[in-house]
Amino acid sequence: MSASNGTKKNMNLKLLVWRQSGGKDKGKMTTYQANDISPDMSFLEMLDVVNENIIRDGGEPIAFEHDCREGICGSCGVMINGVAHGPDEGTAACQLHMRSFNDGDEIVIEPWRARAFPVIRDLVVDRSALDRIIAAGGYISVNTGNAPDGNAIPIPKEMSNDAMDSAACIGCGACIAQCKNASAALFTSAKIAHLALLPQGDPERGERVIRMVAQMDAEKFGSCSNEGECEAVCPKEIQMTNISLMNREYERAILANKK
Amino acid sequence: MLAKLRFNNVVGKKIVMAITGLAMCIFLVGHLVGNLLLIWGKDKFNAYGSFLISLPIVPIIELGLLAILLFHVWDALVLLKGNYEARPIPYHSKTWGRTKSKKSKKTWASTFMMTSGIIILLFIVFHVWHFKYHNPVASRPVGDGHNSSIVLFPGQPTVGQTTSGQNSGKEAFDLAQLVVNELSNPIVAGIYILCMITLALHLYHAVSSAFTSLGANHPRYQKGLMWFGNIFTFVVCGGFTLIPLLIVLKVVQ
Repeated sequence: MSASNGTKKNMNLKLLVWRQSGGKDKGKMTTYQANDISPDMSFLEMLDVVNENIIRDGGEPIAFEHDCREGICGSCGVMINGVAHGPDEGTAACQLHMRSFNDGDEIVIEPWRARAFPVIRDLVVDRSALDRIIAAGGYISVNTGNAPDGNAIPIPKEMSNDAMDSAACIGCGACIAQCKNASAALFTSAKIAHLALLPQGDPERGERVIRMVAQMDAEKFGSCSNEGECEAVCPKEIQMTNISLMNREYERAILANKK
Repeated sequence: MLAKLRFNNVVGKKIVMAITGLAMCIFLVGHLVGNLLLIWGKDKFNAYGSFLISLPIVPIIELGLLAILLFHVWDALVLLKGNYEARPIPYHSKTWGRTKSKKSKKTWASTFMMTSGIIILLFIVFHVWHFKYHNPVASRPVGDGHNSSIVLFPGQPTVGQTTSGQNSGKEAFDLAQLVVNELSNPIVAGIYILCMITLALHLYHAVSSAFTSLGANHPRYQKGLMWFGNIFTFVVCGGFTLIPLLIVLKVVQ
């Protein structure tokens, strides 16, 4: 086998997939066979192959969300064998490759589960709760008119690094899906942190954290148990320190805000 | 529009959990130091007990502790309800994120915080009933009902006592003897030791988690806080375990 050094042969897999025709349907796990799957396929490509077969047999294909398939848009995201985005660290489901699995494996595929994420169809969930959290305070005030000089506001390099790390959040919802409490603390805190760390975000700093936390609460997400499961599954490797920063910001706001 | 103190949401409640939890940790340190006097000597322990009872501020502190405990328990229950409702449909299969990345700090301790918390709550009720209100379960009542024949402060006065004061020569309850009698029973000692292991499980996650909830989790000192939590848990729970252990092994008699 020297010719195929480091490569795997095509695999046959058994899939256990959540099928649900709509919000009113109860839904159930359904078994599918995925045969002759190349290890070089991405996870979504494997689902494409399975769907082609389903369509050929006259069935309804498995609905799953996807867009860029480059791990940067945050559209995809399913629970794969009980872990958000599957077994590879720092990887979205679209960038997960079938070489991470073995011939004969059974793969369980489920949608994100949270009260705030109602299932639309099969593996697609409604994540507009995250949009509403951002709309509640994830913005800054900018003067209209000419674009300001790029270097007019001095920002320490470390600050800008931290802010950019937090801003890397693609809002896929894996943190919420993995959290035992379905808490949106990592998502919300990343969105708070990336603006709170920069001078541009300073004018709304106190109001922002109050509003976004209030919205997170109103969306019925759970509370943070500081386990760090979110950080482990985040495809963008957003850190738990954001959650602490959110708590700090929140304390600062409730102590310092005049309103 | 924005109310004054916003503790009534998931972030605020965790801050309350952290503050009350750490306050109880401070109490544990004081309680441990007092209790370890028993190993030093029964008379030392009884003298400390009588001294505490003589302080007029102690009932106020006790009420404060009770309030702190109730806040902690109440918030935990409200958060539990919210967390339960946050995922009405469970997963068909769910694995720890730890299998994916070592960044997760999930442990059995953090998974069973509510269970260990409930056991500790039941233990606190039992423990207060047992030793504060002197209800022996495995041995005879010490002395004559609530008063033992042992006279504290014989001879010279101690701190807080006057020779002509009402406390001099007063018969005091021999709590040390009750504790030794009770914990000599292996079952009672076993219950105390098991509850201390449960407390260790709770604190192992709780101390560092509380600091994170309060906002103290930063690359610069995060490791230090984790270590502080672990060492605190080991010292406090180890210290408390020592007392029933030494009594049941007849080192302290």
